[in-house]
Amino acid sequence: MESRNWEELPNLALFSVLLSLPSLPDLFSFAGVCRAWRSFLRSVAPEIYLSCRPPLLLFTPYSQSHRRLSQLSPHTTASAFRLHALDHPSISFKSLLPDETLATPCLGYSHGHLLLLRRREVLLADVLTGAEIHPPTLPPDRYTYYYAALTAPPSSPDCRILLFYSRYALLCCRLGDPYPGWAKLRLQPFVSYLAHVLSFKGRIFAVDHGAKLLAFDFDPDFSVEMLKVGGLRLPPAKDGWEFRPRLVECGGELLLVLMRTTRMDVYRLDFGRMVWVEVENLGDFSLFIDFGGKCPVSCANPGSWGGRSNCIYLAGPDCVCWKRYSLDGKTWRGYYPDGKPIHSGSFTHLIDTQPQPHWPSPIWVYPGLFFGL
Amino acid sequence: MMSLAAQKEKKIVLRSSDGEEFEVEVATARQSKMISNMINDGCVEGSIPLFNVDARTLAKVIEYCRRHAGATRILDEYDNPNEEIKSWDATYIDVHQTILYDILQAADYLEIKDLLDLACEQVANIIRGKHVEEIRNTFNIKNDFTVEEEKEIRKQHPWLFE
Repeated sequence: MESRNWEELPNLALFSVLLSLPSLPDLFSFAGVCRAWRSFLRSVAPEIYLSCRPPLLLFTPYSQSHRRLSQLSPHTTASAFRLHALDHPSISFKSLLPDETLATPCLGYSHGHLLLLRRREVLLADVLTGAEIHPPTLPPDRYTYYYAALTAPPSSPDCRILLFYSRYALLCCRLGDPYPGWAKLRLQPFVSYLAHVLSFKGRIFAVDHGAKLLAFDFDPDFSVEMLKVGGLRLPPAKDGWEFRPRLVECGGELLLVLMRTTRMDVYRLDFGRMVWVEVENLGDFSLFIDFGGKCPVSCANPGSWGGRSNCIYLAGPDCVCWKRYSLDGKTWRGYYPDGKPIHSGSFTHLIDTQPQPHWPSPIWVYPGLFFGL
Repeated sequence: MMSLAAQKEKKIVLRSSDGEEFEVEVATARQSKMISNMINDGCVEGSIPLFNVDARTLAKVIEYCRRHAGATRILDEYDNPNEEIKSWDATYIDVHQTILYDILQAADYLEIKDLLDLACEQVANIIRGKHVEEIRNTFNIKNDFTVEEEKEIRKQHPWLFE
């Protein structure tokens, strides 16, 4: 029989084909067939995957060497990063991150990239392919950097790397500048250490360890606005460690998640009244939160891939597994990366009370392809 | 205003790109959103020329539309109409790649969403579990990446080509 030009399928048809291909290897195969299919997948991926597919669990092999649950894990002998898909727990993918990356402190995960600190350089590494982006060398000052984030994907002209090292200042580099370089930007002295930065509806928000909300503006000059938000009833904190605040975009709302040793609380920002309103039920959404990457995401309709709605999926920092915290019953269960449940007697705390290093530890990630890379 | 019974009796003539004419019931023709719009706009005097669909494909598409136009009646007759129509669909779409492609293009052109989805689901079934080379061979797609691009893709996802 005569052949047909399959590379010239109408977009509507390609779209429909993609919706019928839920598994990651099939998607990557699809993207490897020809230019037309690859560029189509890239153009629609952010829209069809980022909000309605679970992120992958990037599992760091020697995170567990001296941690309590190590003897329970069947994966301790693995020597490379693995990516586990919650919707297909029986298979895992090899990440092409080089192993020496493990020895490099990770300052955060943002827009498909790990932000790693190697000597006097912050490098951006694609979690699946290992491809690296090298921003300019850092200034000679010996700061202790504790967190980094991107304000947009590296391909965007608005992409800035924010690098935090003290309560008073940060370093910033705009990647798209003709001669990119690091600039020191001042924070207000009354702000605590920053816990998380999130780009939400075109504005850059940040939350500090005391759960104070800030907004950053970069044009024409850098400015920080401290937003007065009421409604939060915080127990007296011994230190910032107790709250571990995170911001997350979910169904068009800005959420604040506070993590304690035995519970998690979710608030929604009511922009009209500027108050945090406690969220009892996430509806048909679940949240994914970790410690090493500090880049929580939401996922709509988790039932479609076998997940549960109104739950928070928690990875790290203290074990080889991930946990699912249900907002319905305020209960949690632990699971190995391959989806097998851990005996419920194994932990008494949701998060260990003892401070643990945040890296290496399992984190939630999306392949760069999903960001149109 | 035509009575419902009279509308049911009324037939429409579709002419394929290679000049063959097919007489179909209005309910069958209305499975196509494009033709349905034409009927609503009152521009179906004589036959409707379909320049993008040949006779072989049109016959196949009409077979689908006729079955699905009748599906509402079957609802009353069978206990499990969904299973019935699903298994009919599965047999219907199990065709050679060339015919599948023609059905897919016709469904896109005639705006028959269910048929387009069925054909795309079949394409996805064929792709599922295959490596890149197998997919290219199955659909006879030429590898149009440059050597460098191909090398880069292989480097990034070696398991695609295993």
